[in-house]
Amino acid sequence: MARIRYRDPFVARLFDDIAQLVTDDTGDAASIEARLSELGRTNSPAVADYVRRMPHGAGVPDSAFKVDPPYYFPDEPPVRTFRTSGTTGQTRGAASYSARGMQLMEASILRQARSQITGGLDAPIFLRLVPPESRAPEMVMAYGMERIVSALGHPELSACVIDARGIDYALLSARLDLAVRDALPVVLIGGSFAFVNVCEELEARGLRWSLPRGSRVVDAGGFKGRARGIDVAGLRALLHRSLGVSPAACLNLFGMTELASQLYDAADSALGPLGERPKGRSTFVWPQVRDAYDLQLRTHGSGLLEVVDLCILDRPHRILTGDRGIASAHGVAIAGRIERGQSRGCSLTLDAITSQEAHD
Amino acid sequence: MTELHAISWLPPWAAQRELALEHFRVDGPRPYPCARPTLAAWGELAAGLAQAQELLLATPIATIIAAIDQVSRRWTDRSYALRRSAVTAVAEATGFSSEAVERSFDVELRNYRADSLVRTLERELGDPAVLDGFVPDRRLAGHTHAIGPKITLVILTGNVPGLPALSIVRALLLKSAVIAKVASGEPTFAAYFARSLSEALPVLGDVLTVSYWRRDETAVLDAALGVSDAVIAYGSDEACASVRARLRSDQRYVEHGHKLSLGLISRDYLRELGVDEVARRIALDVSTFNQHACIAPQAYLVEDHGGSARELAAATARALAQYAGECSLGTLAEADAAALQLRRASAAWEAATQPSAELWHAPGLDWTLQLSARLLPLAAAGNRDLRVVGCSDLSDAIAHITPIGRHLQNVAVGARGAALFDAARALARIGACRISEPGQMAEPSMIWRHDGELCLARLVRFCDIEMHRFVV
Repeated sequence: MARIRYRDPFVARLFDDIAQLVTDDTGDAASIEARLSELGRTNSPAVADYVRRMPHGAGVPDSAFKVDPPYYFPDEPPVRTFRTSGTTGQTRGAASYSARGMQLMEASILRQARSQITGGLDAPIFLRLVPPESRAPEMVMAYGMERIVSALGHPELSACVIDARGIDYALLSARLDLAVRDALPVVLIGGSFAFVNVCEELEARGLRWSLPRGSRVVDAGGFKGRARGIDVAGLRALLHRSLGVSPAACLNLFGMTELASQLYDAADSALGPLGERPKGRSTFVWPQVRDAYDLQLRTHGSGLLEVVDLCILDRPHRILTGDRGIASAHGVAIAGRIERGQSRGCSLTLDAITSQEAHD
Repeated sequence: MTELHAISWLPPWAAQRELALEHFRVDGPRPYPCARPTLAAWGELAAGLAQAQELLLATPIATIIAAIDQVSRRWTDRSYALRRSAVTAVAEATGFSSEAVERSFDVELRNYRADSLVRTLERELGDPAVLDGFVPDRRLAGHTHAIGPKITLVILTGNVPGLPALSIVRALLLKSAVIAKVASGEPTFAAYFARSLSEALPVLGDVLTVSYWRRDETAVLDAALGVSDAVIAYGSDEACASVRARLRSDQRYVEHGHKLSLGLISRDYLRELGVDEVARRIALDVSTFNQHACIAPQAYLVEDHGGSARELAAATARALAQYAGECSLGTLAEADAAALQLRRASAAWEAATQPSAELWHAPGLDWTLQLSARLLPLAAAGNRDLRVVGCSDLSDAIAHITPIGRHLQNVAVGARGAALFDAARALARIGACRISEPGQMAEPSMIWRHDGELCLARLVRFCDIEMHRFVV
């Protein structure tokens, strides 16, 4: 079958339909997904081959983006590439976007941010524990946060409170003081563990605030793999003590470089082992769980997390993220990474060696 | 064995001495009943073990060898009642299929026949009778006597069914009492083995204690260490390091930390034995112990000429399938199954994007084989998941391995003559401590210097009589 070119009507129509779905939930998600799959099979022999090899339509693994990452449009060079952070010595993953892909990504980010983050607020002060896009141009989270703040945040008072040396506590304190003085709601946003460190440092400095009504905290990521044991309740307690933000005003999001959209907590009920909340589905992005034994989709119980993101136009839109998911009627809790290789007794896996030596 | 003590073995005299015990259940999906001395009672346990060990010291080594030989013979009989019970218990604990446990026991427990024990002692100590008293030593022009530890603490691993027998037997051969701490992953075998030793020679049961404590119960570990003269520890590098850090300077110590194993196949070997036979041997190496042992290969590197690596990989896939047809893997824990699915997905992507790569696997999870141009990174983690890597020649294969040489243990070298010895020399220099033929990786003899060490000699103290006019 001939490759589908970027400028073919097929792609234009697909783009329009996805954009419509993201804008107002109108459209046929199943038809869009079928066309995205057809695009992948047609434009990428690797995707076509992979699909034949894997049972039950399982998505591509996150590792696929590390070596020769897939991109569907050789006739249209990417306008932007984001990369995973990676640990020392490890290959970084890459996700490339065409102009249309970037538009869909931005539309998805803003649609979700409006409904999930800033609902009921008018231009809140955004304080980011994430570097600005200019300092981290390949970091998808920096890009996404910048779009959100530009579109939805207070134009003068929003700020990145992280610089090359770490958290700028003077700036953070000044903005929080100002927000309290003027009763302006604040949205703090950053990595889950960054909040733990910041709250502990604020406590050590004897600093605490009771942020205005409507203030909220959005943390990204989770706690698995950290040397220190903390869970969702622990983080929320820290945030409540330091910032006066109630647990109900805390929200976790899941994003990854390989995705264009993010997943947000859909219910405030603990589902994962560390109290992880279930992530919900929208018309254009949703989490699902595949059985660990046969890769069939599960509606309840644990398995491999897969994310279907219809806003990904330029590469596979079904991703096996490498995380453990727990499915429920309320959504899917994301419960840490799946260890691909685990040493047993005196038997050491090469995977363990590779990761050990990457950290030596 | 009472239900109360299910995974523990307490010497029969413990009840008469009214040893204070705590009874508990092991944390985890199967809460096995277990007993151990209370924290205050470890000294009393040690006193009882030391008293029993005096009797063992007076027992000729030949008698001990004969008893262990009898135990080995019983355990290599698949109808032996204790073995039957142990197979069921170990299969339930590990998820191995019953046949996989049977084959593990077959391989592991035939090592303790008298001939093997005698040759082991001869290789490490010279004359086995050196454990009974002073014996002439011609090189010394005097006499020598080997004294083993009074009590040896053995920290066991659960990754290989039957493997706990090895450390227990080593300590008993040195006439040492044994405190064995079982692993949570497979805590059941050691108590069955202890019972069979006691049945063969009661004093062996009198010098044995098998129990369990969690890794974070350091007070119990310290209590056990406090009464021990020597320690044998299996486990992760971190676990071994934490034991090592608690040792007294006078304690003798042998540890078996993390290791990994690989295989090499030369073009000539492949031609001489034929693809199907080499594939059968590789499948045997990979499938035995479900590839959980440190001696099991995680990858085979193959001299690739005209597609021979791909041809051998395809044949090995068939051989793995045939082996699984006779002896299935068993049931994986969900985390292991998820990890395997991710590894397969990564391998499927590599096969879809790299012409030199391919993936074969069972319809279920029984086996997985990836052909790749790269050895690293490799996320293999047992459960019959092998990578075959094509190389230009054996030197190239060794170049692939060199960066991870310090972790190397067992290497199968499919080669002969100068090529075999050249490869063996290079492998020895980068870290290997055992070279065998493909198909023999899972069957190291007890005589092998495990991890390149003298595992018995390091635990004994010798006393020599020399420069004495009345002793020559």
